[in-house]
Parts: sequence; C-alpha cells; structure tokens
Amino acid sequence: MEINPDGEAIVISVEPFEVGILRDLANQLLDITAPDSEVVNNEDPLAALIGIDVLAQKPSDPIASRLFPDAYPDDPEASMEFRRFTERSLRETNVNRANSVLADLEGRSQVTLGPDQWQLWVGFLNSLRLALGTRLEVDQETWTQERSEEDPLYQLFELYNWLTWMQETIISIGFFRGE
Amino acid sequence: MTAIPLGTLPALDLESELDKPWSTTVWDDPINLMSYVTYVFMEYFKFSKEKADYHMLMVHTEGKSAVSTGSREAMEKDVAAMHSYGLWATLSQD
Repeated sequence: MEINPDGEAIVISVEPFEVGILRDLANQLLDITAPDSEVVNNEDPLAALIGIDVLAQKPSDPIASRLFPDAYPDDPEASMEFRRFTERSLRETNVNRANSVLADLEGRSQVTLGPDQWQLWVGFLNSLRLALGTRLEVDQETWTQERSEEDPLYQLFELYNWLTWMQETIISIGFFRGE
Repeated sequence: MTAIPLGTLPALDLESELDKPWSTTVWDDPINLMSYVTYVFMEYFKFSKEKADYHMLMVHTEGKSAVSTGSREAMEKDVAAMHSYGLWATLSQD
C-alpha cells in the first residue's frame, strides 16, 4: 500500500490482498455495529422513525462497550436514557462509514479520496483500531513489546500497526499538511 | 406592544440551580492516536492547533480534559459527537 497527496486529494494504491483484508475487517465491523436485530424487530415504529431505541441496552461485549460508551460516569439511568436517543445514530454512522469505504474499494487498485471521503476513512480506521485494540487489550506496554513471529498475537498486532500507519498517514496528509 | 409585568416573574433561585453549567470531559485511552485527537478537537470544536494540542496533551498526561461547558443539551450533543469520532467522552455537572 502507498498513500500519497495529489493536490487537495489523497491517493491510496492498494494490492488485491490488502483490499481483501480491509473488506473482511469492514464486514466484521458491520456485524458489531449494525443495529441489534432483536431491537429492530421489536421496536415501536414511531420511535424508530425519530431514531429512538426504546429497547436499547448497555452492551455486554467489551468492543461494543468501547464503541458505544456510557455518557454519564456515575448515573446509569441517565446513561441509558442517552443511549436510547443516540446509540441508533452512532451505530448508523459506523455502518455508513464502513459501507462508504467498501464502495471506494470496489474493484479498484487505486482510490482517490477528497476531503469528505478521507474523513470517513479516518473514522472507519479509528473504529477498526478501537475494536481490534480492545480485543488485543492494547496499552503502551503491549503495543511496544517486541514479538516473535511464533507469538500467536503477532499477526494481529501487525494488522493493528498497519491500520495505525494508515490512519496516521491519512490524517497527516489530509489535515496537517503544511503544519 | 405589551410590557412584561416584571413584578410577577418567579424568583430565579431554582433556575440558577438548574442552570449550573455542565461540561464535556474527554478521557485518555491507549488506542486513539495523539494526532487524531488533535484533529477531532480542531475539526469539531474549531479549536486552534495550539488549543487542540493543549487539550490533547492534558488527556494524554493527566488522563482527562474538560473540552467544553454549557447547557446539558449542548453537552449531550458534544458527547454524542465525540462518541461518533470514537473518543471516550462523558458529561457531568460542575
């Protein structure tokens, strides 16, 4: 993969295997972030129309808890209320970003991203890193630790580092160019 | 034109209690990149690079930073926006 500026745009050249990896990850993220099917099937149609999840629940999975955190640190009831009004739209934001990246990658070896598009990519990559980083329990120590290729987590950390490089590079070209 | 009879307005003590400002706090986490956090603060709050870097470094070194204050509704909007960027944010009344 190469990421280069081109005027106001960013050009990403991708190998087919890299497209495959990004597509797999995007689909996994869609599985995690798509609105809960049980909630969707039982919801009040009027509430759904204005984006309220009457049946919203605090996620039990650590990745979903990180992507959809509590808004009130000491008030579970207020956090639930906030969740009912915002989680649907937060999930949809994630779904839209993943679908947008999937569409950008469709049948291409080179993707040109304008300002609106690279922001979607950066948000998408951030959600992927939050999901993968939470699964790997990334912290300063585990991230900088030297790993041998025999380490069962080696590949996943390589993947995490690749996503980090991609996100950092797109931000530095798209936002901090000339700083 | 109608003059508002000021004498009949209710006392404002309760109001001022309800109006105590709320704030949005962004918390440190080991995953979000420093450059990304600065970018989010500049993009969403329209902070200068210096101010965005200051709050980003507060988050990084102190573990948290209060990035906005205002009404509860405004802070809920800011917290929801931070969550959409993947930042770990909460609101509380000061």
